[in-house]
Amino acid sequence: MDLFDNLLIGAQTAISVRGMFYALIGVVLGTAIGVLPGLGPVAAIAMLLPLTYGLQPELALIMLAGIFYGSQYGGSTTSILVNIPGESSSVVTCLDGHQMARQGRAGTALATAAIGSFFAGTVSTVLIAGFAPVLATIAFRFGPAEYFSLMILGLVGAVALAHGSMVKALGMILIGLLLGLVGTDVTSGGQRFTFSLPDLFDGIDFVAISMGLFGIAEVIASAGRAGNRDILTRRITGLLPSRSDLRRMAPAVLRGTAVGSFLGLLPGGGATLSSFTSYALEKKLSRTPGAFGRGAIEGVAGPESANNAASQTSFIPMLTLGIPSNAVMALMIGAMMMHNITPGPQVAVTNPALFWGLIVSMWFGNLILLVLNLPMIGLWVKVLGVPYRLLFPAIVVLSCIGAYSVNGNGFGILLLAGFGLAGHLFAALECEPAPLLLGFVLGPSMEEYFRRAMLIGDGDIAIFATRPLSAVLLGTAALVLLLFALPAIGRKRAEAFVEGEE
Amino acid sequence: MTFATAVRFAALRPFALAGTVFAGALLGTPAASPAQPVPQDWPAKPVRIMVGANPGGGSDTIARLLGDHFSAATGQPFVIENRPGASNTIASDVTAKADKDGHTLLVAASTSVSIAPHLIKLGYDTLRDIQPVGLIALVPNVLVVNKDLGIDTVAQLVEHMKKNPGKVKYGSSGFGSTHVILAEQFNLAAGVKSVHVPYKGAAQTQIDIIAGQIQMTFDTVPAALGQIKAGNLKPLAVTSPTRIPELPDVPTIAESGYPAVETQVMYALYTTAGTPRPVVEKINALLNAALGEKTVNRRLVEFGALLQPMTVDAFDGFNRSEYERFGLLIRRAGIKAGS
Repeated sequence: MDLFDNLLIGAQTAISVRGMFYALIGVVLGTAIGVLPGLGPVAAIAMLLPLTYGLQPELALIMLAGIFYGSQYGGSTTSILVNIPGESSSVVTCLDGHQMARQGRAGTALATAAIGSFFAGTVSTVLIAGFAPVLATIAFRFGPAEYFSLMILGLVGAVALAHGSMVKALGMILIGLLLGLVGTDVTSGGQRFTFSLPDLFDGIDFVAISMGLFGIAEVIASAGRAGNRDILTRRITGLLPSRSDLRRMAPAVLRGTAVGSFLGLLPGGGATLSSFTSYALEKKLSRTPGAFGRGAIEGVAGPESANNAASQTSFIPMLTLGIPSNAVMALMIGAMMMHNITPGPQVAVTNPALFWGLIVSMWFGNLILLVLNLPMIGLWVKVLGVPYRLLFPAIVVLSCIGAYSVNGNGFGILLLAGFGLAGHLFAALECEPAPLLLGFVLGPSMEEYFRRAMLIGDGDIAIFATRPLSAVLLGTAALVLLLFALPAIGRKRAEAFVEGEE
Repeated sequence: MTFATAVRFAALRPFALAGTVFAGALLGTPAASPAQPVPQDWPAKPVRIMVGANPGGGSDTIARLLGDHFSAATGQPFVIENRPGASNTIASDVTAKADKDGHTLLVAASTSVSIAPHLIKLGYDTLRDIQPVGLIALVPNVLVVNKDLGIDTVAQLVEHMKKNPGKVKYGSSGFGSTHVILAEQFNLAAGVKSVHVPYKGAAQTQIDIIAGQIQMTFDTVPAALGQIKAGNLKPLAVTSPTRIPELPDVPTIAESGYPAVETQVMYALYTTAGTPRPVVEKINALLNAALGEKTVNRRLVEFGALLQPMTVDAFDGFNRSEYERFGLLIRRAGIKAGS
């Protein structure tokens, strides 16, 4: 019962030679997977699963868990260096992380991401160790109505993602929502916006749209700036954050950790929503919102802490209830069943070495990631020194491989090219792609939860207002919208925008 | 890093199969040869096993298990290719249109081979273009309800549903899933009404049943067993013809008075139609040997499956009857796409 005794049991498993070895393999593989666009942790874990049959179950889970949170770490590296989000949860890291890289502060951005992630990983590990069973019940408080209201709040917050016109930001959200509708309707099986193309039956893939709008569009834009070719290599100042950097990032890391820890608990929330939410929150609270999108360190520290915290706390429903909150967790449950362990509330009692070993290994794995990644930063930054004539084709080829590998056909590459051109057009019109992506990610789930809530509420829309938690979330969303819409605030936004323009 | 490279190469494989010399050379595998191999030569080159779902699901797990065993038994690599989408029928489509030499196999479940053909327009004919090879496993479903309803038997559930028409909601894994067919069939058989609430998968459905948002579902036994054992979900009946060892106290749906709802999810092996008969027989023998092998057998049983190896002809008949039976259920329940 004693927490300390439990952690000791865990440490015996996790800090053993074999425990450390498999944690190391897991996080190294995870980092590689996170860096490669298009190859996600789900596919990687599924392919490695058969290899773990022969392992002790706790070692197998330690390795698989390492792949998962390692990939969240790795995803930020490509976002910062070449503006390609390796994972959906690191899209917002592109906004300020890549700007920092363009200003010669790539090392600082990478270090910020690593330190923020480590801090978030430590806190959320303590949360799991101390409060997992209590926190797990939160999942049951969120029904379809609550998820819908939570996502409304998320979308409203997305307006903060843009630093230009609010109308344009809303427009981009709507375009994102529309793009998210493409595909087969889950409820009726009807086709929407698919133009009878079988390749569109399952919707547009996130990889193609995010790499197109960010990576490819960036390549086109940079190629057009012929005069500034050396902008990335000109001055790479200190690799590690300065004292003032640390002061600026600390509160962002704390808030990001809190946001991520909470959203990770919800099976329908997760790492992507948490990184967007954290970004919106940081921008809203900042005294200089105009600096966001132009290399604000808070815009890297918050979301990176949030997505790592969320990826850790998403283990809670799986470990304590046997309920997977995402596809990776479903695979982990599969791995446990392969070893004759029935996931559920009894795991902590029947397999304490596994339960606590996994928890201790998560903290340890985060430490390995920090130790591995900090020295790597110098190496990564050198990537930016590669001449554009080599770097740009490499980015394009890597993106194409990523887009191709999602479904194993050329259609993904066509989509990538299309969204690359669209991204260039958006940049010319000063419309920002981040709100579009959030609309695209949240739109389909929002619709799904909305319709599910309506079915459960017998077609009465009042269900969103009569359920207290849902009502509170909707109320908060209305309040946020009001804050944005107030003319005084609007003027302040414009001022901040002009300031940032200098 | 080597692992990541291997994955990318696996993803490139369709290029090689399309005959692109460059990709073929890159992979170090010979480009697809148009000549029909002599049956004794099968497998003459790496075999791909198509799976219509993402890695991690039931068919994927089974395909990887068999693939490992087949590779060890034949000395040729068996590569799993996941082609998710369109109710898992994209992998079937690829199989239907592949070379007729048995080097493209398909692991499929009832959803794509018995249900989808009746619901969506396909670019191939399931019975004509895909050759059944053998049955891998049958997985029973279990009718579970929210434990706070105070319902312990199917009879009580039916009574509750009759008293509250349209108030009981059932969860499913989306349009065209076995959950929907079973629940609608149950409605017909018991003369009751329930409302369909679609989900993206079993986990979300379970959370909402446990939390009381919805009341019931027909889930596969492997997916539901953990929550049943933890006491979070109340099992009322299994849909297999006999009771199952994992849930000895739970009656069958036929014992409960509704034999028409008896349905198990089928996992089976297929290849391209037109593959020479001796090759099909050879793959069938390989499959049945694998099913008899201790480690494969044990893992499938742990997965909650009932093993019932069949000859090619026996399975062809079974496959056809499942196809017809689901077609009838779907027409009777009036399930249609886009409605």
